[in-house]
Amino acid sequence: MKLDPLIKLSHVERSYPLGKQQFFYVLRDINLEVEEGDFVSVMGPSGAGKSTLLHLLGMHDFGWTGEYYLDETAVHRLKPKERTQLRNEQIGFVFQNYNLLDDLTVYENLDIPLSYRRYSKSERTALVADTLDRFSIVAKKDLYPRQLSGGQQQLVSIARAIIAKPKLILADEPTGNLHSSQAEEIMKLFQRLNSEGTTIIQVTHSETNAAYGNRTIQLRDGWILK
Amino acid sequence: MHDLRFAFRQLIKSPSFTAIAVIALALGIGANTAMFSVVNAILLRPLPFPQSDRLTVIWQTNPEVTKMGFPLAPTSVPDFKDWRAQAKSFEAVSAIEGWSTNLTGVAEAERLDGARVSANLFSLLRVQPILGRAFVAGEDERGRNQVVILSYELWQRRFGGDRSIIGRKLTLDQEPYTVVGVMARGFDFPSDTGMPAYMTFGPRAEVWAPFAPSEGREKNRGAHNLAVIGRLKPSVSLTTAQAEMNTLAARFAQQYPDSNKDWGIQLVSLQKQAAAGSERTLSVLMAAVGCILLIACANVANLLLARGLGRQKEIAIRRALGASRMRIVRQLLTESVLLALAGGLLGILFAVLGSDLLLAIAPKNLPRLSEVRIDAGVLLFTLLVSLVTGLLFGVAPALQSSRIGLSEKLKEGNRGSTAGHARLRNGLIVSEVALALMLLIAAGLLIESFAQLARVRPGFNPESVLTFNIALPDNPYRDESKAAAFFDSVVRRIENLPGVKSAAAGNILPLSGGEEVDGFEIEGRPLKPDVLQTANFRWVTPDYFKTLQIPLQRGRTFNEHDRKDAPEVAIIDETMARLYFPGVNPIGQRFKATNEKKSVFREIVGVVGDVRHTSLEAKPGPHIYLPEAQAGQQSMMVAVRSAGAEPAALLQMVRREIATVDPNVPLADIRTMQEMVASSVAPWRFTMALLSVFAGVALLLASLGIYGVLAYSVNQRRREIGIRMSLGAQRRDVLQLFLSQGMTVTLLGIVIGLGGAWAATRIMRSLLYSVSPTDPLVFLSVPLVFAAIALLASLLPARKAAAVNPVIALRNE
Repeated sequence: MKLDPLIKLSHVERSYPLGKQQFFYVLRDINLEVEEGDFVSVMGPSGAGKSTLLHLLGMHDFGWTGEYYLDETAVHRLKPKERTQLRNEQIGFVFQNYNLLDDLTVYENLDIPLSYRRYSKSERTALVADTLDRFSIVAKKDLYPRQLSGGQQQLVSIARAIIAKPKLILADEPTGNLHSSQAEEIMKLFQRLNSEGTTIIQVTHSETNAAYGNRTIQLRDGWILK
Repeated sequence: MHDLRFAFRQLIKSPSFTAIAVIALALGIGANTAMFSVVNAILLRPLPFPQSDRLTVIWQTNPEVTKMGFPLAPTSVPDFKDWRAQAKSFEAVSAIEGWSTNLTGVAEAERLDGARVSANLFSLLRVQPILGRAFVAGEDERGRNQVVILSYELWQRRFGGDRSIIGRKLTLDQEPYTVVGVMARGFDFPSDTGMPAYMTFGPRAEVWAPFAPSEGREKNRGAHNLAVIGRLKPSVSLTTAQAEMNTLAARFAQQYPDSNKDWGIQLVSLQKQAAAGSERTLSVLMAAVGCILLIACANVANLLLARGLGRQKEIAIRRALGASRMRIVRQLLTESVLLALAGGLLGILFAVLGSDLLLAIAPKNLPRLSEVRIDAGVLLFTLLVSLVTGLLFGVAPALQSSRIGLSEKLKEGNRGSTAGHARLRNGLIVSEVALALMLLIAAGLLIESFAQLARVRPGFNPESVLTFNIALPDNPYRDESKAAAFFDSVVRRIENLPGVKSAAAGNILPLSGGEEVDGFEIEGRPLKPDVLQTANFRWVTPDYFKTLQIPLQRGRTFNEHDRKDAPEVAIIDETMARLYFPGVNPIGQRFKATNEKKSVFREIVGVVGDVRHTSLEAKPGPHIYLPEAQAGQQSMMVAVRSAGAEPAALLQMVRREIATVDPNVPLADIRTMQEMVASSVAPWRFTMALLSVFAGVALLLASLGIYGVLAYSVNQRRREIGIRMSLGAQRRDVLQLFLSQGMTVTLLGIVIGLGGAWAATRIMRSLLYSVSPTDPLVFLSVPLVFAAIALLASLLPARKAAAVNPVIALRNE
């Protein structure tokens, strides 16, 4: 028996009004299924709608039309608060520029997604300790992001993304700011996480990085190329 | 010049920033200018006489009199004459005595306030009449003193500015006086403002006659009723003159021990005397507007800091092009000074409107109010304040903005904030909150005082009572029985008028501003030599207690049988009964008043409730009421209780009745009793209203400050908000983040403000009534209200933060 996909998008569109009765479409008639355990790379030129798609999947953006199922939940029917809750349960984010909070230490950066998910203090302590250990960054726990290299910052960012045990990681150009050896390490880390069961969708410009995944989607002017 | 041009262009470029900053500064500078115009007129500007700094009032002092509440006492005629003859420190010395006189023989009789003065007063003050002449030597001798000088206003009002007034005869108190001069417009010296109440000066003098004391007064060193003013010689300081007068006082004490033992002399500069009592209030109000200006400065400094961040790239380019740090600071300071000058200009407009409003609500007994205006001195003050303000709020942001890492900023563009900025901005907000809280607490204490005062029961019912004063001339009323008959007749006629419930007369009505304190001796209890036993004496007609609704506690009130030929009787108040007859029924007890011509023991026939006579705030002292028919006062105040609500409507009928009794007797000081109550609390109301307005402005500015900092912070932290949301933060988490930021600075400011208020409100003790300077109610409620308003001010930007769209926030990266 085939299980339902983790993500199912049907006829999803995203547009911005330009004037009276005029719209600029960023995503057009997107139909997409992502199975649990997939490692999908989204590629395409600038302005193709890659990041828009990622934010839509991450439920940062609510202004779209169509149907979106995440883990069998009809996202398009959810109220904003319910979407936030679902996102907190299912999704972790990794950004190109790491987006660590400058005034928080590595430890505090890892702690913050847990505090937003109302984990108890003891659970948070245990999870953060475990993650620091798993990513071999215990020695860095009291450092601030500016005291880390780019690769180390992205490592922390990924650790932060998976700490609340999401089913899905959305990564927007995760190696865009890193040099090639660091990029390779990060991609291997994604591969390992994927092999451990986490579904990953990454936006990338790099064929090399895309090769780490099991599937590539090409976007052009808001359309998925068949 | 280049800096100025660029600064001007910068301000034009951001009109909303410029408008907000200019309005905030204008509020601060305007409040300071308006308040300074009052302080300048009352405390700083020289009196309108040439070399007025040389003018001093010469008072006497006596420990016993001080105990009665009069630290400065007037002097006697012989002492005045001795000073004039013997004191070497003065160019000239003049005596002044309040004079209230009835002008008759004209279309409508009128009571005029004025003074009897030594002939040399005008030359001492260095003022000259604009028409006619001043008094000449010898006119202050008996028999030659029937000459009079008019004020410009009286001359215009009653004589249409007729220049042939000089040499004309006027009838004053039924005596002929020849007009010899008219003073310049605005000259009204002496007035009651700043002078002790017992000097009986009117609100403004309109008529002057030479002071020619009677033979009896010429010899009586014990009759203290003259104010004396002196002009110091150019080389003599006040201290030197004081030392000389001390020596004279000691000499007189030896020479005339019966009258002058324990009497000292105290010199007070006329300028200080004229401002008497207003210094404390004005200092508190000036401090309040100072706080407003500081808050406005902190607000604008915060705006500039925010703006500085946006201009980091521009500054970095300037530095890269070779500008030194000092050069950048100079450029930025030029902008802030220009901003402050614009604020000052608008502030002057606010001040003109504000000082009109201020004068409208100012109590009439605030001295020299007519001199309040925005003049060159005030404008100079505004200019200085604007320049200092510009530097004050500009220097920190200028230094902060000029301290930037060149290469990072050139690379980064306009992005990013620094911890130093945040600390400075938060520090500014904390100080704004602290200052505003101090002002609010001060205003809270005054409001609480006023509320306490409003709750005071005066001991009589001031509603529906019309009052006025009648002063009978010596001719033909020197005879006591004639005066008594006049008032008896007037009161009876008024009582019979339709719409009148009852009428009565008393020499001094409650809250009318007069006092008559004297000693008494209780039968069987001889006075001990060193014990001062005094009470306030009131002569009243029989229906006095009924008309003012003063409750009778024991015995009876006066009636028509208490006449001159009847046994002498008196009524006392509860305080008198409690103090002097504890545990004894005072009814039937007898005492002797030391000031009565006839030294007889009077029997107490009744006890009435206490009345707040001097002011609502002063606890009632012992009072003794005597029947007017047994004394025959020439000056009495009449109280008419109307049956309807509007007592003033009775005035025309009352005037007619009095004219029927004697057409030459004018009514003066016509007021309702409620107006008297209102004017007795007017100084309280004034200080409270002003400080409340200032505190309101401070609260508004501080709230705007909190709002501004948070709104700015939300803008700066959009990326962070986006990240937090992508990490799972919900709206309430973001809301909480910014609310807690706003409330942290607020609470810190509140704590510091509470400490400051705790220390500062002590200096307000004399401005408070029945409220401690550290009143727990005010100290608890004001911070709560402040915190609630700060919460509201934080809520707006916090809601904006919670509504940040993470997609846009992250994409703008």
